Amino acid sequence: MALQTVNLDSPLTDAQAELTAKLGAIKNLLSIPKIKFPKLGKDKQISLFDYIIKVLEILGIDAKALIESFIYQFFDEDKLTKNVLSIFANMAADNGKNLQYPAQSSSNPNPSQKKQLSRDNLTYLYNSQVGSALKTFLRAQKILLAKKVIFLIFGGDGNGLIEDINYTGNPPFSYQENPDDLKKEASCGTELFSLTNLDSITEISQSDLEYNRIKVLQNVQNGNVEYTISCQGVQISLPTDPLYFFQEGGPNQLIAGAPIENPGRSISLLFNYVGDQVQKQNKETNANAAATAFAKNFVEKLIQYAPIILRPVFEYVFQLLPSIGINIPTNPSNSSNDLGFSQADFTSTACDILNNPQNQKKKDSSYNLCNILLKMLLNILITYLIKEITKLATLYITTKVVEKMKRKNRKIAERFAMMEKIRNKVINKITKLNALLTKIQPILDLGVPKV
Amino acid sequence: MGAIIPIADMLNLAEEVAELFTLMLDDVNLEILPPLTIPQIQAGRIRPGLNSAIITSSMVARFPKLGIPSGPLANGTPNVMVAYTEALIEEIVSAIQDDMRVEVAVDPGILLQAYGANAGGPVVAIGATSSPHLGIGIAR
Repeated sequence: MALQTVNLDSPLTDAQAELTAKLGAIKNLLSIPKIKFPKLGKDKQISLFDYIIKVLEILGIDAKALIESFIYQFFDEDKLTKNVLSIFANMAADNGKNLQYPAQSSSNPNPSQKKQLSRDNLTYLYNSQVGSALKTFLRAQKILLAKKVIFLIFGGDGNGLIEDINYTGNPPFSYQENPDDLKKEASCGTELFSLTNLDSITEISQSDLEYNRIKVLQNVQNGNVEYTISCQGVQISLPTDPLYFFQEGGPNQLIAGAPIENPGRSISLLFNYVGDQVQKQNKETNANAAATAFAKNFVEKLIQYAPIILRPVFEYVFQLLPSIGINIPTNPSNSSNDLGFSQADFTSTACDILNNPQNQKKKDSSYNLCNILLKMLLNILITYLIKEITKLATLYITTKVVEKMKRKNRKIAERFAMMEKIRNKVINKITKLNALLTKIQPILDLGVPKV
Repeated sequence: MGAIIPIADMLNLAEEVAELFTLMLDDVNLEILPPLTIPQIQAGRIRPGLNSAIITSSMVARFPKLGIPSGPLANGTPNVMVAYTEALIEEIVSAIQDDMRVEVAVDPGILLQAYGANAGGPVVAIGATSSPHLGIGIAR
């Protein structure tokens, strides 16, 4: 765009032009709209997860690696054991129940008592045979949990990823799941929890709720996840042999590779797969961004679907609790209930919760689980961000100070060089003067005239 | 899409986290200059004073590093950026040299000795100022 050329034949004089310029500037400054940042309540503000992702994008940091770190920690059996047992510990503490010493339970604990009780309950459960048996169970089941999450996201028939599941354990435990039930749960699960602060369910009309449920169910049943990238719809479905995510060697292997022990690694392979799909359907340059976008989606789905995929684990824990003397009758209001909540409420399905949104007891376990996982995710992101911002601030100070000192030193050197130049000029002049005076001295020095 | 299960209040900390990071970056703006010694301050006499032409040429010399053209533009249009810089610096320097006022407060405790004489003979007075003294300076 060419700059407007200066008009040299202006009819205004200096003073006239100055006045018009000043008046124009004043008018312009008054007309600049003032941006007012609204005061928002916590429930209307951007969520912490979204805000951190925004800050990471500004810093040019790819969040995929951090999300993968969270996924590795999620599927670590030790951490998962603690997270699952934390829900039991917290909910018992909210009801004033002391799991180790039931007789010391109180009916109305204050917040600091609840906090202490929660810690004591978790320590007791984790160090007991419940903790060790659960860890063993999770070590065996964690690959299956990862397969379930991928199935819940992509749906369809899973391409052989998942079939009817029959959980067993020690002490005797039997629980069955089938893919169709899981698919129904997936459509309800997307409305259970969000990493974004959205309006509460009571503010969305029932018809919107039904539409969303149907749209998600269609996507999940068709086996496709659709993304819009650069205004182009890109459909990503599972590969024909999704089991390769869980085996070394990659796709299209004639002989199955060794099983991958760590589900986190399988999920990383899934992210790479999504990037490859986008590269084929869209553009190579969008592959990385698509993999990162999918990773963000995936972590939200993982936390949303956690109550669904971990339900068999909860059932197993309920099976284990009586072995350490914790009494769980069917009726939670029964005074001999050492937990203060019922198994039925704790293991409510996502659709159950969605159909009874005002029933707090049904929501409690999912509320605790989703927020515990979100806290873990935010911990990883914020810890990393603090380090990066500290590094950035230090680099900025040192770079700017070094540049400033260099410029100052150059100015001082130039100034002294100038003074040196002047000094040399003066010395040269004096030397020349002395030489000239020496030559003409005989003429200047008349003395007594000689005849 | 709505969410039935809300995010826990203790995790709704976007405002607090933003304030934390802002505070961390605010430290960057603290440039703690070391105090000058008295000889360094007295050597200020040989400072040349502000010169808008020198400042302007120093700034224009940095334009190439910043990717700003300093000569006439490709289509022959005058480079208003250089003229703008010159006008800006001239006005600022003019305001500093002609309008700026430096107000100085000198701490009490300046040692003084006075010699005199009266009918009784020589008088020597030794003391120190007991209250702060205000002064005025002009920036050059």
